[in-house]
Amino acid sequence: MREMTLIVMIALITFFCRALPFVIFSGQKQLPILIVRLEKKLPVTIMILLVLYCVRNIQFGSVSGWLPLCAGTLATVLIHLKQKNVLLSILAGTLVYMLFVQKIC
Amino acid sequence: MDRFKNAVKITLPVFLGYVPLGIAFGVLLNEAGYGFWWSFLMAASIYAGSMQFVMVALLGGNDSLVSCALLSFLLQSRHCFYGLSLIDRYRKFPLLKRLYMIFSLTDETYSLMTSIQGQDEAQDDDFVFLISILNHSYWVLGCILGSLVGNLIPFDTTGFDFVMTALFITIVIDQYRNTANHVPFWIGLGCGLLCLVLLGPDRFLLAALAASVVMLIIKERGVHHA
Repeated sequence: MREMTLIVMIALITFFCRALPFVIFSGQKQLPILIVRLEKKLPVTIMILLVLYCVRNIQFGSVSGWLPLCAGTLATVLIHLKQKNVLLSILAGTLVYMLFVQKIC
Repeated sequence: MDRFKNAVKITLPVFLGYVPLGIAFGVLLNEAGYGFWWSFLMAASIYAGSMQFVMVALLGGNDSLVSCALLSFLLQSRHCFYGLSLIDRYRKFPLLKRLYMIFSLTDETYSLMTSIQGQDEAQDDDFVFLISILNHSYWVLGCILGSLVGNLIPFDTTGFDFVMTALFITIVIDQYRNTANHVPFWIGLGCGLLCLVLLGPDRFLLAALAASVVMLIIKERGVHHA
């Protein structure tokens, strides 16, 4: 019973967080000008923060704490700058990362 | 059919990320003593990667419901910011569809939504809806696969989780290239690095999101008044 309550509760909390901005601005026909301008600028800000979130556990104490992350990131960036093919960049970057994690570090 | 093909193509990176991650979750949940149906229920109703992993510990633990609620709110509150750039876009959907789109707004779905911004496809309601549904089904598929056959994977998948990081990196690069104003990028990177150094990896994200939004607002006001 505790498990079921927990799942329902956390499902509701998660939905609440996702819904909050929609609820706050639901009554307004015209969005505040500030939000309209933020709409265009926020995505790249959030995406770079999500990238940082993914690599947040980087550690400079040992080589295995930073080298695989740096190598994978660098590979993804360089290949994507050259080729502009999302899937290719992702697979190549991941392969480099796996290689470093499994074989090198 | 073209629409479906395109949606599968654009969600393929998420498929590659969600299925292995879901499998890892299913395996973990299995080891904690919760089988297939629990995995399915959580994947379908909560649909949040990191939260579900934390829940594996919460399910068998003795923490009070209040402290679980608080923890999950803190962990999920980053989602409060995603809707801010999709309010107008999601308004075009009828209520039930809109509720589903909001429910399924994960990090990855958000990132795809922003990556198609400005393209013709972004105006196609069915296409946008399809992205949400496909991502959700990949996640459910991964989680139940993990419960059923997770222990049978024959090769070393260590490090494959980097696909999500790589997906986010390519989206940032494309967004950077497609906008003339790079200030929002540098605000995010600056606030992010500063908060990471000051607050550490477990607590930096929310502060960095809030700080970035405040700085963007201040900058907008400045431009507005000038």
